[in-house]
Amino acid sequence: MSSNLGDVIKNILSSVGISVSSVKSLKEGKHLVKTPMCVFMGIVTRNNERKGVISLEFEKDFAEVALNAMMPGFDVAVDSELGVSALSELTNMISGNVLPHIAPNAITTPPTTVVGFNMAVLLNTLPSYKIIVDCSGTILAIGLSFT
Amino acid sequence: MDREAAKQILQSFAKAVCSVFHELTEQELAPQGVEKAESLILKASGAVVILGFNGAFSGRVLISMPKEMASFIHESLMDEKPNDEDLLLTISEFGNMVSGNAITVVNNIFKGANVRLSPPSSFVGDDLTFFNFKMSAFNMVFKAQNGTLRMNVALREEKRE
Repeated sequence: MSSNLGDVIKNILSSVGISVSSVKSLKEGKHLVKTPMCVFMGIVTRNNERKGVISLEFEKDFAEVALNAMMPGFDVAVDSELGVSALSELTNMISGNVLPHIAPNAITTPPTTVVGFNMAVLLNTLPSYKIIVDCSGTILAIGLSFT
Repeated sequence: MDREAAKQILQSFAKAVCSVFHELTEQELAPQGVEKAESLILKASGAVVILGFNGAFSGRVLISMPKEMASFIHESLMDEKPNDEDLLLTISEFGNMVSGNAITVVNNIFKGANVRLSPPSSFVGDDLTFFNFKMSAFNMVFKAQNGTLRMNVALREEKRE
């Protein structure tokens, strides 16, 4: 499943002009975040049987690469409203394409972006799958925890 | 979103946070008022929990409190001093109880709304910045003996299923 999802994510990033060097996946005991910026949204199903969280965890370098690719020629700060809005949209695109592969009847809650240094974050107590995307030395992690 | 529906949802969350806080700590939480948030950006320090919801109404609730207040809730439950990981779990559980209570009331008022909650996500730190787009948000402030609890409810109306 994770190689499928890796391809899906790679295609979306390519479509907005972000070239991916490599993709790998790993499993963690809880859905934690270690980057200073994260966009996440809840996942619920119509029958309320399954729920979870999907996150995009940005290193500052990757966020800058993504914004340059999405808005070439504009100098957009990562933590500005425009920058956060663009990264939030990237999260919508990725979650919208990833979810049908995991739970076709799932819907998402509105995305929230958080920026903070030295913060401790627990997005979900469930084990999470992380897909780590390397784009020319900068890293994006996509986290998914789902019952 | 319909003003009356928004009011009912906000009241459900306000009642739920007071009730759960009292249930866990045997202390009162005094509401200080509600105001429409002027900014998309919300700053918080201490312990924060966020839960999203979706159904006939979608949105998210954010509850923030000083670390001391989260520690007090933890100590009321566990009778021991918490570390940061304990605080994350405590604030998660607090948010889950508050939102569970509130959304049950909302689903009872709006039959067929089928609003469902996502799992709680929690944060501990200083100078945390949260952004939400395309939603109307409302700030509520509550005073307790050991600090101020803030709740921000952001709403977006969806089509009835």
